[in-house]
Amino acid sequence: MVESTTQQPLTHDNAAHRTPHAARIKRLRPTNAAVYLAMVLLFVLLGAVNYQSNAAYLVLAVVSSTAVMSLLHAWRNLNGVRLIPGRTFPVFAGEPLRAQVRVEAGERDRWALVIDAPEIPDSDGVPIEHLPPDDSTTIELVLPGRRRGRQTLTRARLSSVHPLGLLAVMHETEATWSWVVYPAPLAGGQDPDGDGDDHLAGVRRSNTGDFHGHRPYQPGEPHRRIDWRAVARGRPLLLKDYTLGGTAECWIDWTDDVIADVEIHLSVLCGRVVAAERQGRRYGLRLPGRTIELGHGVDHQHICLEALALFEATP
Amino acid sequence: MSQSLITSEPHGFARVLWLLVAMTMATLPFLDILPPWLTLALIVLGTWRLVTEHRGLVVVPILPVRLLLVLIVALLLLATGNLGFGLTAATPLFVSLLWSKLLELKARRDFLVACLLCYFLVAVLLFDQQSLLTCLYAIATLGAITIALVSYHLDHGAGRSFRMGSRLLLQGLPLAAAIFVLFPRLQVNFPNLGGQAVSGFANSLTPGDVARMALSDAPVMRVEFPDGDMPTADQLYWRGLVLSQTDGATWTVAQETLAYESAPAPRNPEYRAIVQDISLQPQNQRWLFALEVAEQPPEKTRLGLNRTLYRRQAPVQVLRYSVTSRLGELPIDVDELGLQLPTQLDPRVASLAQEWRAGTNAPQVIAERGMAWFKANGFTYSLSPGTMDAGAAEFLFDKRTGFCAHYATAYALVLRVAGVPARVVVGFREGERNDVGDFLLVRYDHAHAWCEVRFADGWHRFDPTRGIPAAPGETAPATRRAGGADPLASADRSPSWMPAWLRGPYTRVNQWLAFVDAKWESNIMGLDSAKQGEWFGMAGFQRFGNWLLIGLLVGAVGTVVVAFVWWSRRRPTRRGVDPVAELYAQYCQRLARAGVVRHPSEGPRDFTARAAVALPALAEGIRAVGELYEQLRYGRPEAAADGLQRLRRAIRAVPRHVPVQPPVERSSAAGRPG
Repeated sequence: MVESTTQQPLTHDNAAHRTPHAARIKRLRPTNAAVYLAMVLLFVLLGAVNYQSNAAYLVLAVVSSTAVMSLLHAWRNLNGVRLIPGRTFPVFAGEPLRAQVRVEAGERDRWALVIDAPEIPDSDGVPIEHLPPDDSTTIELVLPGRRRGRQTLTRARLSSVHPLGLLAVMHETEATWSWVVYPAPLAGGQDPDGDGDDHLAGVRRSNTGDFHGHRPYQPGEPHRRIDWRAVARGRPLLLKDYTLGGTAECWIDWTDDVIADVEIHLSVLCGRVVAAERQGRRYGLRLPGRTIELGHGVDHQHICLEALALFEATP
Repeated sequence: MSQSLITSEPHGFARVLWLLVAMTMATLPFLDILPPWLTLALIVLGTWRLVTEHRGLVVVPILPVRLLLVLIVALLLLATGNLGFGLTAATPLFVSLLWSKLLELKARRDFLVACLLCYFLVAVLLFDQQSLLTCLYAIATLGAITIALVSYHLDHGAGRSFRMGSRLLLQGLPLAAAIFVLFPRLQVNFPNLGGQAVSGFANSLTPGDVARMALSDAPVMRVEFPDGDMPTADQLYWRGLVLSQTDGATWTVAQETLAYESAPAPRNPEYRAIVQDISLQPQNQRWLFALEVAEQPPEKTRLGLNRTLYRRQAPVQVLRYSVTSRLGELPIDVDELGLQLPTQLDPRVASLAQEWRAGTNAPQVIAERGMAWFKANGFTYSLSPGTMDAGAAEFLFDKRTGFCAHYATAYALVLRVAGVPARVVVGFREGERNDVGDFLLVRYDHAHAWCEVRFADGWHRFDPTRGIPAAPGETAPATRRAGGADPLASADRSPSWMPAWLRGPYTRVNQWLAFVDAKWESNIMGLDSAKQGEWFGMAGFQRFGNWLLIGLLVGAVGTVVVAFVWWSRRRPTRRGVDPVAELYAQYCQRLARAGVVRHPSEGPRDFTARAAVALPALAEGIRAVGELYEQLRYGRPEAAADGLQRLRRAIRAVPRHVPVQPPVERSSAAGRPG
């Protein structure tokens, strides 16, 4: 629940897409429990008719009115909750996508909420047990990894069966989360400087290099780079940055390798970009139809990787 | 052993506690029909589950073992005669099924099934009983079940579930009342599912029947006299069945009692006609009761030539009927069985008959002699005279003690042998006057049997039990009533441990309860389509029938929905708002006045950093507030013990009117803390 307004060049602020009423009731669906309860009530009705028992009609009346009230409370529990899409962070292909959702309670208590992504089958919902009035919380939906390119999630769903579990009330956002998914970094091919020992993705083995310093964790960044020892000492979430010495320049060129499969080719280039950045070099990228000049740093790496991510082979 | 157990996910103490409360409340009313060993097993089971939930480790038997356990319980119930067909007879099995769910509370479905079974048990309870107290108890139980269901979907402690559940129940009550009043009362007769009505008189009488009924003080009828005065005690003979046929031990109703086509014209119009509004508990029998003798039968009821009232089918619910009797009138039917005798007869009976009819042929004289004979020969009244297999002769000549059924059957038999037509009548005698509601309450222990003897002008009532003294040590209800100055006064039914000064108020409270119950049963539980018609405009009702009710019902639900939505849209009350959030909002307002406005999506940490830069004079205070707020909001709960106080102090330390600074652009100050 760390909140931050810090602008990160790598993030995509989806708040620009948000609509004034970010959440609307989309669907009311009776649960299985409602069906079972209806069956029991039907049985009670048969008994009441058979025994001409007004007392049994009384049970019928009390239970069904309680059920009606629970439907109304279920609606009230979600009415006015706002779902606001948060930022997204680029990931490598195959890594889980993290979508931030900010949930604002609005004017009253909210109970037993679940947030999930209806587009993703079998995605686990994130529960929020209680949200006090005027409070908000930010949760992360973790989606399975996807292939490179620009990926989007157009709906997040807020649902609850509170209080009796008879009615599932669902809200959906109409906003869009957008990710740049880099190609999965891959070793191989022609290393620009010939030292192929450290070709694998820096992301995977980044903590083998020299410790460069800490920077604050941003939600959505890979958890494995968090300095957990620092967390255990009570410090905020910090990310470990690593770097290797060296100031050599290099060009990462599409034509260095001849690889039939475009995706593998892109992955190899991606691995080199990551390695070069990690080694602290100045590097540039030459792709068919696009050249990125020499540079280094997180922003420069992003520009290069984004170019690889969005690369489309001309037929 | 280890293979027959599996570890189950704990459900959470609060949840299981609420479920147990609901289950216990649903089970309690059936405690008297559960065998003691089952009750003990349920207590053990409930305690075990609660303890294991408390420890957080639940080990339950695997499915085949659980099924085996339920099967064993079912067989035990069957073997001990606690299980039968029909809803109520199978209740012990339902109860065991419900409690066995404690062994398999694993998935959400198990919890739900347990709750639904509880609902079902409440309904089974109310199929039979409908007193006000039972209904209130049932509603409370429904509330407990609702709370248990709420707790299932909430991880937020027992208190919140209780508040939400009771709110659902209470807010639903107006709608429940509307549904109850408006729901069309269908009149369909299904095959009998086996309701458990208390057994009343069968079509036959053996003395043991009356003794069994006399042990219960449950109410059997409630009688109001709309025309005014209650008859005197010696007129209160509630005639039910007329038994003419005997085999010496048992007296039975003659088959095919002929009935009047229409109400007979009164032979003695000067006698007092009295209207009785009666509500009769179901007793698994077709006979209705009225003061002697009935003249105007209620609806759907036949009036026999012997002035008995009977229906085609035994009522399954409390039956309300209005009947007119003419006090002092005699039945004048010709009963062909009036002189029928059993095939075997003790010679002592014949000689007693000879003694009674010595020197006369007048039935009246013979009948009077018989009454006097009982009093002169040391007979006593006892509800537990022991078995009398030899029937009337054993009673008359050996035991000489018994209760009304013994006297009536023996008396009628001797009269028949003496050549005087006689028969046995069973019903109730007298009743308890309720001073609060001015009605008469007849209980099962008012059950009585007496005789009718044929004179030339008709059948005359003779009650041989009257004036018989109680046997030593007997506290028979009839004796107890007869002892007082007012035979219709409420009997003292207070428990024996009660101190004397409490007995008067106790009886008084009971009278009030009986009165409220009477009103409840006749007005609320007595609601039927006819009453619905009266309430909702007879004309419209007759024309549209139940569709009118359904329309009103839909309207009621719609009204509730609209009212609820309106109520929800109102501004919420500030009560119950998180105090931390409220304090922080005040603090943000102060800073806003100084020109540092918190952006809606700005986190407290960034806001603190920005404000500290924008208002350097207050930086220390601002950081203190920010740190405290963060701890309270996102920190561990134990850190927030006195945090609220500290936050309040820290916010007070920030001046209410901060010197206004030029507004600071958010973006210029935005940066990472640290």
